[in-house]
Amino acid sequence: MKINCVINGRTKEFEFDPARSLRELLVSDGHFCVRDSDDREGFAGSDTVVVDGIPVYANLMLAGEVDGCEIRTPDGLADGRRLSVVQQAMVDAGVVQSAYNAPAAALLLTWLLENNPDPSKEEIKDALSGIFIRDAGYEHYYLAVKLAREKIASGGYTSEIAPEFREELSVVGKVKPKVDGRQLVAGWKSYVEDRVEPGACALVLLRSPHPHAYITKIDISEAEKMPGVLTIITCENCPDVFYMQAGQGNPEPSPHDRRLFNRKVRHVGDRVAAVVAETEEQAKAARDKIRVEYELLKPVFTVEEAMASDAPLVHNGVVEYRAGAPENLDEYNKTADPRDGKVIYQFPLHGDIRHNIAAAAHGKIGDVEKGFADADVVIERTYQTSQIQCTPLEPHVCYAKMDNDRLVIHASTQVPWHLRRIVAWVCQIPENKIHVIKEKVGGGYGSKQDVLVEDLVGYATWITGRPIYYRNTREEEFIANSTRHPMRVTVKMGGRKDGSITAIYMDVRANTGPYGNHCLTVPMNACSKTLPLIKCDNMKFDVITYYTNIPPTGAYQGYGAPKGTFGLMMCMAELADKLGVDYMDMAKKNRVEEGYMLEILKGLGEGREGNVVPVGSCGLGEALDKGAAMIEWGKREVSVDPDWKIGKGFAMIQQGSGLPGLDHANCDVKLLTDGTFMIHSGGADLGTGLDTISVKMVAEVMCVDMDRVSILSGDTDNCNFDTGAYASSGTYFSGNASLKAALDLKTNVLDEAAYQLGEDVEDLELRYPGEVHSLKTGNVLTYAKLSHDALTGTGRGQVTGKGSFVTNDSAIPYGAHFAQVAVNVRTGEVKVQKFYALQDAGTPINPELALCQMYGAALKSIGHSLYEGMVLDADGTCLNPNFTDYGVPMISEMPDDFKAVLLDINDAYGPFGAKSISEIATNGAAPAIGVAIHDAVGIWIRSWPFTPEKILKELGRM
Amino acid sequence: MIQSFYIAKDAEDAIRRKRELDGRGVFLAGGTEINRLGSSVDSDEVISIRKIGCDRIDDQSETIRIGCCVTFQQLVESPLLPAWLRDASKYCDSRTKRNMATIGGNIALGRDDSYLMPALLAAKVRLLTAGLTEEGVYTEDELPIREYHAFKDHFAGTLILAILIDKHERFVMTRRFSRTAQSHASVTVGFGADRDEAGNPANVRIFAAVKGSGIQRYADIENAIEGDAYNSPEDVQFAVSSMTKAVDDLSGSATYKRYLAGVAVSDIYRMFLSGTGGAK
Repeated sequence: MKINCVINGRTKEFEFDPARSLRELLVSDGHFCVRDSDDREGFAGSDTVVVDGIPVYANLMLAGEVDGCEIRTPDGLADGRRLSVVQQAMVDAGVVQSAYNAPAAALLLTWLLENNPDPSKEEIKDALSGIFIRDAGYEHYYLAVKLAREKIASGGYTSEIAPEFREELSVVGKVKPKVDGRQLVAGWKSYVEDRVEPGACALVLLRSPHPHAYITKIDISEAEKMPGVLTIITCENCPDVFYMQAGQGNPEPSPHDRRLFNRKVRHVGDRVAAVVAETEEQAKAARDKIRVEYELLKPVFTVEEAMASDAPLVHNGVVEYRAGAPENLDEYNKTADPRDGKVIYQFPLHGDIRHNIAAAAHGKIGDVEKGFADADVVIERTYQTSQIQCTPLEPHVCYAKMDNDRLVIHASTQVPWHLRRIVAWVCQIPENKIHVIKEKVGGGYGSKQDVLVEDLVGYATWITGRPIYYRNTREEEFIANSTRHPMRVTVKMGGRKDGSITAIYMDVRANTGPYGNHCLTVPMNACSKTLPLIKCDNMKFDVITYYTNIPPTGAYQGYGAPKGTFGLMMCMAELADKLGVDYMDMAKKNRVEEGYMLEILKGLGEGREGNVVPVGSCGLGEALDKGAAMIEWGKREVSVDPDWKIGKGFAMIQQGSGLPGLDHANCDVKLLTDGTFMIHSGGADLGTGLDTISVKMVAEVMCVDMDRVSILSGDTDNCNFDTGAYASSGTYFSGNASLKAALDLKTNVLDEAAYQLGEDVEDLELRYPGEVHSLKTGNVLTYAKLSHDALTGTGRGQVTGKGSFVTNDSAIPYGAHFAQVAVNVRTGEVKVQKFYALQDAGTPINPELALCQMYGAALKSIGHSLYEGMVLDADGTCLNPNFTDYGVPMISEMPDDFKAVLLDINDAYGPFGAKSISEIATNGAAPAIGVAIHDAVGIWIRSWPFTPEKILKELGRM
Repeated sequence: MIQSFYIAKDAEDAIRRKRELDGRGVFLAGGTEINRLGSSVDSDEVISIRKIGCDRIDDQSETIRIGCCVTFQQLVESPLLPAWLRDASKYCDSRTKRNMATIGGNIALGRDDSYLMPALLAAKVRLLTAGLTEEGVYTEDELPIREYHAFKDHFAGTLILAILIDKHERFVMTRRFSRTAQSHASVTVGFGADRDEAGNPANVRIFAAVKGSGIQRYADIENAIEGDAYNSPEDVQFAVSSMTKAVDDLSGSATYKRYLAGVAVSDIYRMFLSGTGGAK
């Protein structure tokens, strides 16, 4: 059908199938930023366009319907390279983070302001009601609108965007536009999908319909004959290489318990075969021809089922150890079934696969039994968390191709170097044969710490020599991806009537699902990021992780801390209630403070003995004091509607800043010939602003404007090693590496300047806007001249700086989150009226981005607490593998009063005093809301999510 | 998978095309159901009715006429419409989706988590439909929405042209329960009633869309209310909970849904009795 329309003011004529979607039409015309993050669900809004002045979902409209229409797409907003007022305001407000939906949001806000120049908060909320923002929350979108209105009215901003820190510094701690904000908000090419070249082949996966089964026969003969098929990979022909997909330090504290394809499937959605063909349609058609026969096995889904004495074994293969094998290993392996493959531990993790135990850890300080005996009251409570999906808007995606004899992988990853190592291992090729290019990451939240698709796409490209593109469907994101480990956390706590805690015991039973990604470290984190909050001489923990047949688990923002914090803080509140002590008083009495020696950390290393360190900079007390004042702790609120009861709660929280003793970051910075700078950082910015941090480090040290500093990061050919962006390591590790590189460059620039000027280094200083100044002679040498002369035929060569950062010092962020909720006693509904997140992030390098990350993480965890949760049927099939049924929070679920507060704490070890910011913000909502529900209606809800139905049951209403 | 697309010139063209397709075609209005992932509508032929001229809301002295292609957002914004219909339209929380979804589409689908149906049924609106006789003669017909809903299969070949709301004073109220604003509803109820000359309840209509169990009418309870058989809203709550058909599913247990239906109807009934809320 001929379709005539106007797109972004230009008349267009297409010969196009009218039954295809409008999005397909627009993408075919180059408007690739009209994206699809929900597979046509009509939920997430990545496909938002404006047709005849009305915002619509382009996926839900047929191409034939726009004949004669006028269409606006997000990429039409910018004027060439100049952002629109709204786009710039979004960057300035800090909401452009992983930004997959930022272009669509910019279009919606532009449309809003064009039709309503003075919108109310409710009208802004309404405009954004159809767009899913997971990274930055929604709060600063209101600010973005305000800024845009101010700019339109007066040509500049009058509102404060965020508080600024460290008056003596120029760019660090100041509100400055994110360095990649422009390309992200404008919808310019940024993501893996934007790099796919014409002619790329497609890969599709045949997945298991069974939760637990042996593959007894797999017949690909008919499929191989199908048109366009290049290769089919199954358990019969894949490399006999065992590995694991978690991007963790090497050797990993997780077992190598899988191959690309296994003879045993261990969850619904497990890989059975991969088909590579010229087109996706051909690959799917061939997939339909694969015949598989299974021997079905009884599955286990819960920790309790996995623990049972007669439980089916999820892994019953041969166990090997790369180091530290037990003496009885041969005996242990006598009952192994070769069809189960192997489980290879890099070092002992106290696993026992014959009892479904993937890993375990135990530790204590003091004497907990004595501590309980000394208590006036001892309680023991069990808390259950659910399986939560990260739901990045950009699903897991990979594009790989060959360049001569090298494999080039365009990846959306948090761990480029782990990715290279794992793919090299799977392909059995050396690392120099692989080039990983980290593209912009359209949402990671931990799930892109795991190498979930690049292993297969990399291998398929290596063996076929053909460029291959693969992208998870949204359903695959749910069933074959990293999720939060469900956990059963039992806390026993004793306390005295004066509010002091005498002993704590935590028993953490985690469900790792079919494979052991992060099986030791996530559950340990439930203790290592919680127990050190409490000043208590008697503490003990047992952590055991079980294999089951649920969809895979792995890393998710917060790691194990949200689960452990939920258990520990809820139990403390319950103990306070039993003792008749105010929960706030108890928290203040028992919280750690600066200098307190954290002996408990000795048993909480990641597969090794942990570092015992004193509490460093600590804003915990300030967070409690300020938060209590803000929410008016102790004041009873009363609703005018008697059915609604109001209560308040809070939780103390902490996290880490990377993994001291394990993590490593590197950075190089070069002085270019005109006096500008180029950074090569190993850090993997996943949208959080890590590149901006590196640029700020160099700009601050070298006394130049940020636009004189550019950065390339996360590229394994062109940057030096970095363990990756996980465990809240970015600012602390990669940022410190950038700072060290900048300081090294400064030293080298001064040295070169001393040589060129014939002066002593001690007499020279760097000064704005980018020059060396002699305090003795007044001579000035610009960076441009210095660099030029260093690079002449008689020069000494390019001036560079190098930074490599490792440390045993910790920079622990602290905070407290407060909630006020209203609970309807007739319907069980819960409304979060107020949520205040107060955090000590050291010196926030990018304060506006930091605030948005706090809002985003807090809203996520409000979602985990109240709405989200994967539901499996009796056969292990996920019943809600889409956004609508799964229940992610949107702008309508925002607290009425939402505040993120950055406490001004300077850390001794972080770059310019910075600590991590984002992960910690997922830890507080569940216990804060749980305690508030109790305060409102007197019940303790001890399992996620706190649904109205659970509340009604606890209230005895049904 | 949609294979072909046809733009109808007018209502007659649309229904003739549908008959030609012998049941394989569906009318396409907003597209929020037909084109979406996991759609309940399976068809390879779509007939767009976007250009048949049914996208207006008109005040027609005794009635308000709402064209079938009027979007939820038009309903929200129209000053002509009663509050209950604007409220029900806002249950579709996504503004972008409200810009696309149509009132006609929502009625034709009759989903078990329908945003509008419980309210429209409780309001006793009437529908103007177009169809063809067996001889192929174009006809238009007016009928109660209750009849359309109860005998939906009978109207498979017809097209809803308009929704007609009587402008006389009637109490109508609706409530929806879902985990998030955009989750599928567990229960959506609609309650409508007039008052007779003595001020007693008359023409009571109670409906609930219960996820997994369809849209249900509580005729016995309507009659009991009109007959003054209940002493209190609590009696209504018990009766509705008892009569509600429900199953366990993602949106909640059967017990929960029955409870919610009872609570919601009784709360609205209490407001009706006290003379607060719900009136046009």
